[in-house]
Amino acid sequence: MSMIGFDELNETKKELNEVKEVVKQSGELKSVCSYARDINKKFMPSINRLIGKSLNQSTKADVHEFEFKDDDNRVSKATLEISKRGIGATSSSRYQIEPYEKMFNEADRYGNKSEGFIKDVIDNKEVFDKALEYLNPKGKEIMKIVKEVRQKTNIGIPEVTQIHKPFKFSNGEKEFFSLGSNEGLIEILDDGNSVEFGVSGIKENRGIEKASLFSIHTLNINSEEHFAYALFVKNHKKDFEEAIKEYNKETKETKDKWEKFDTEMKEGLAKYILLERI
Amino acid sequence: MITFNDIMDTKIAMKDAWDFREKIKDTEASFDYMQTINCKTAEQVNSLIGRFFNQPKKIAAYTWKRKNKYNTTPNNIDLQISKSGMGATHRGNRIDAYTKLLDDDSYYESKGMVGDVIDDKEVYDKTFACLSEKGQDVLSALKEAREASNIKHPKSTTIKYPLKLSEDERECFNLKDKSIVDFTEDAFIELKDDYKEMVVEVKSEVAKNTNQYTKEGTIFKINNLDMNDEKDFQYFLFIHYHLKEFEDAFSQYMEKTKEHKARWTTFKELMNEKIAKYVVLYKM
Repeated sequence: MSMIGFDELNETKKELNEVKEVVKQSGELKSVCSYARDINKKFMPSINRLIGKSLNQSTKADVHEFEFKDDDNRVSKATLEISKRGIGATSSSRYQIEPYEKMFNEADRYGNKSEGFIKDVIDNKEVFDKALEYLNPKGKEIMKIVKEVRQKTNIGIPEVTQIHKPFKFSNGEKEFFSLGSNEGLIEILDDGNSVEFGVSGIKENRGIEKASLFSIHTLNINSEEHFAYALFVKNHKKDFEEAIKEYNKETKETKDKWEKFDTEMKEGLAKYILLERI
Repeated sequence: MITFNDIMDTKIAMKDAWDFREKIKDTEASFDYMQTINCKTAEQVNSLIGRFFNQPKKIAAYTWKRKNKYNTTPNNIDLQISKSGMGATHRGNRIDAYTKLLDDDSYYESKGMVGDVIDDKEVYDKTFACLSEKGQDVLSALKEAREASNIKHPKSTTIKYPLKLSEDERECFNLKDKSIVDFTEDAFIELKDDYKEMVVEVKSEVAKNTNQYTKEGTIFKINNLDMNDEKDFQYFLFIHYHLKEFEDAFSQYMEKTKEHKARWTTFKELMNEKIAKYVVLYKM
């Protein structure tokens, strides 16, 4: 082919319509980690309220004492307690309970010892049994529901998922994008909030440093600025579709677990939450 | 179907478009050229007048009734000369020295050193009388250079050059608005010396109606184009196919600014000749 004309550009653009579906799919990818994180904290306020209301002591009950390291690496003591505010810890310097906010603590709020409500209380037989002692039958029932659902679903700490799919740039592509190598990566990066879907390569002028070339989820195939990217996506459509499939496959188990947890918790706690509201 | 190899071949073949981009980058904006002389000379002259001022205290050379920027009531303004140079004082005592030869945008509604002093015989004579011999020489040099060159206010120049687009180009840039009947007007090159640099843009009235472009209808700006940026490929291709129009627009700009710029060049050369010895002396 000689010099490209605008007629040929338009013809090629028409053929690029077939990449619309890939762009659409990439834009629709939802962060599974974000989904899990939402559920991770979704039930704690209700559970804390219900446990608080079910406390059979007049003020508060000490469930468990533990040591933890503070930010300066000093060992301090804290007590796991139940009060009308729910279940949580008080440290030696604080008298108010800080109720659990999450099923699993990603940010280690109480020091090394606290890993969230499930690890600290539900999964620890000694702590769990002790906590039950201070609760009326309704409170015990709620604790048992969480334990059962936890065991049935086997949820874990919400984690990010990243897909790195290697592929080869053609020589024309390598030259066009000023790359130092034919090695490329299609990446789907879930940072816990949103999903970034892009292409990286090694830029000629940056040595071995990998550089992001473009994002797929923000591509506008009608924009002349994105023409070359859309053409690239067409050339590698199969690779992109596979990467999307891989992300969906890899996150499916986690998503299913948390979905199941969400459904079962809703079912288990519904009558108590409703009762509490009435 | 275009391949990346075709694109690479085309990139090589459209070197003329790259060269045009470089030419724009290397062309000095006429407005900036004139404004630089306008400011620098005023600064230089003021330094010399201050330096050669031989009175122990400042001198009020002239009194105007003049408005300030924020007030409609005219106040008395003194044109004064001191060690700080020549300028106006209002309520305070410090001289607000001239920063430009023409069109001074100071607090006072001043026409600049040339407009206020050199072009006004009464003010000029009064000022002249307050200066030492060397100061008078500098002021005379400015008057002579002004008269010989007849410089005018530096002003920005804009060229609007119509572009006739092909059907394919209109399709590519989403400019197929049926309401526009006269397609000779559906796009144009706008060349403007926006003070610091010469800005060249391709604009379209139709483009104002799409979300893809700016509300001014800018499709692309040549100054922002980068040969190594894959996003700019189609814009370079467009320049390649319309190179003649771009060159014509550029020539029009050069032609339009030629006389104005030449006056300032003459003025600059004359001033350099006349005050060079004082500038050198001053620096020593």
